[in-house]
Amino acid sequence: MNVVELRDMYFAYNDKVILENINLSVERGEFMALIGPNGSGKSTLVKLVLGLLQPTQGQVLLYGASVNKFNEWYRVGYVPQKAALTSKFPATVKEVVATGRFGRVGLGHRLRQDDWKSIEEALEMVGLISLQHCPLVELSGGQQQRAFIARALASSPDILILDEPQVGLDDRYVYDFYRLLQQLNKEQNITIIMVSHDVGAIGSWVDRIACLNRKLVCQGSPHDILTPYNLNHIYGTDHPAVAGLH
Amino acid sequence: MAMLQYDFMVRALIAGLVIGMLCPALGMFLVIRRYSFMADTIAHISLAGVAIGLWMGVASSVTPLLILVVAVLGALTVDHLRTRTSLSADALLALMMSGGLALAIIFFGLAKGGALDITSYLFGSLMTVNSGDLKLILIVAGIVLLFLVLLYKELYFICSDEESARVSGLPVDRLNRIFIFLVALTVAVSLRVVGTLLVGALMVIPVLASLIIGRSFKQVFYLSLVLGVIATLLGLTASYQFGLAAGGCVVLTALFFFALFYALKQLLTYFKRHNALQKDKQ
Repeated sequence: MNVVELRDMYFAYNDKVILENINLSVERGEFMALIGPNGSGKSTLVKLVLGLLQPTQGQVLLYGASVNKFNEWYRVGYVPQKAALTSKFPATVKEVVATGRFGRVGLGHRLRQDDWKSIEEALEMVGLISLQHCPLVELSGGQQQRAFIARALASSPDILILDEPQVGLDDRYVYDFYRLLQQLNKEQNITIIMVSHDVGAIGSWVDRIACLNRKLVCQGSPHDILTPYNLNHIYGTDHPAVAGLH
Repeated sequence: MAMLQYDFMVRALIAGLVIGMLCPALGMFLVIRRYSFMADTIAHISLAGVAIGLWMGVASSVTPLLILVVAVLGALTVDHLRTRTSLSADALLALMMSGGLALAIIFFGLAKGGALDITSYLFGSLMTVNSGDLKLILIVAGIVLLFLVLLYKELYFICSDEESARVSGLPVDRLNRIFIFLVALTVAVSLRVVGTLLVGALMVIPVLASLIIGRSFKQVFYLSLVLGVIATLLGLTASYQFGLAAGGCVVLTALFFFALFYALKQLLTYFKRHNALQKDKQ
């Protein structure tokens, strides 16, 4: 079953076409990376899938339903770019992670014991249970990113959508971060869509790569996609990832 | 306790305490979202309600209701423009604040001989709060607290990360409208107590002071409520004892707490650094 499906989708902003004729589907249990140069429309595509933007033409389907009519948002975990939460925001790790459960609890209802249990499970999954009472701002970049993943996991989602989650991550955390995502994908069967600029590393972790540059340029297994020819075509010859593949 | 012998003082205390709690409770969400000047803007717009009331010659008991209507309309306009235009928060609030004030000045000019009322609404007149004012304050407090209890977690989510709140399925636009409606109600009933020029201060200063020492959202929220109430109590007592303007005393007391917490935090940071350096040397 397709968890996400984009059909003949176009998106324009102020008469400028950002995305054109996108046809893409993601199956249940897949781990897919979306790559492309800056300004290629990756984050826009994520916002369209999440219903934050409306397509100019075409359809966005989530679990077979139009994104406008989809009402089971607790099934979707979202990890935005780190900057989405201001660095001075006064909240503990647990308070931040708890917000991930709000969609499932519903408007005006309080979190119950089993909700707090799910929040603690999410914290445990990312290894932050011992830091749950720390202010988020006191955590390192890698730990903060894990807190945001725990927030997305707190609603017990079926799909995880991450928008350039490695931005600002220290190199030594990147391996642990990918390993955590792979674990979630393989052990809990969570479908993952991840926007990434980390072309060099993602190939060893994901099942499929889709390359975007206003249009869907190509998609397939990392082995088929991460070739010098394709990357030259998308990024140009000067890109370090391309140089590394030569 | 001698001041409690007078009915006007008891009314002033109750009104002050309720406003002292309500203002920071809503101010918390405004400060975090960088809309600290929202209350000031709505207060200046509300002043147009006072002016229109004077110009129309309505009874003084009707004026608070008129202020309420103008405040709510102004607040909803701010919210509409906030979501429909690309104006930055400060630019939008500056626009609306000047517009509201300009409207108030024009209507004050058209109404003759209303100078006394202007002063009481500009600077607040806590000691002249009558039982009608107090009833209105208590009704508004009941409404605001009810919504805050019901929607605390949603408002917290929106002010922490509006985009993620939308993705989780929360009706963010509707909740924003409800929130700004509550701010408008609170500002409107606070005008009589602390005045147009100081209502924003009472919404923001206790929160800023609490942010210095609070380590969690919940801590900062409740601490700012406590500070709001303490500042009001101490401010009113000082005002009664020394014959000073009540609104000014309340806000200055809140500012004192801000300065105190700031100084303590700086001292603590200094000693922590000093100790760390000493350890390094050893």
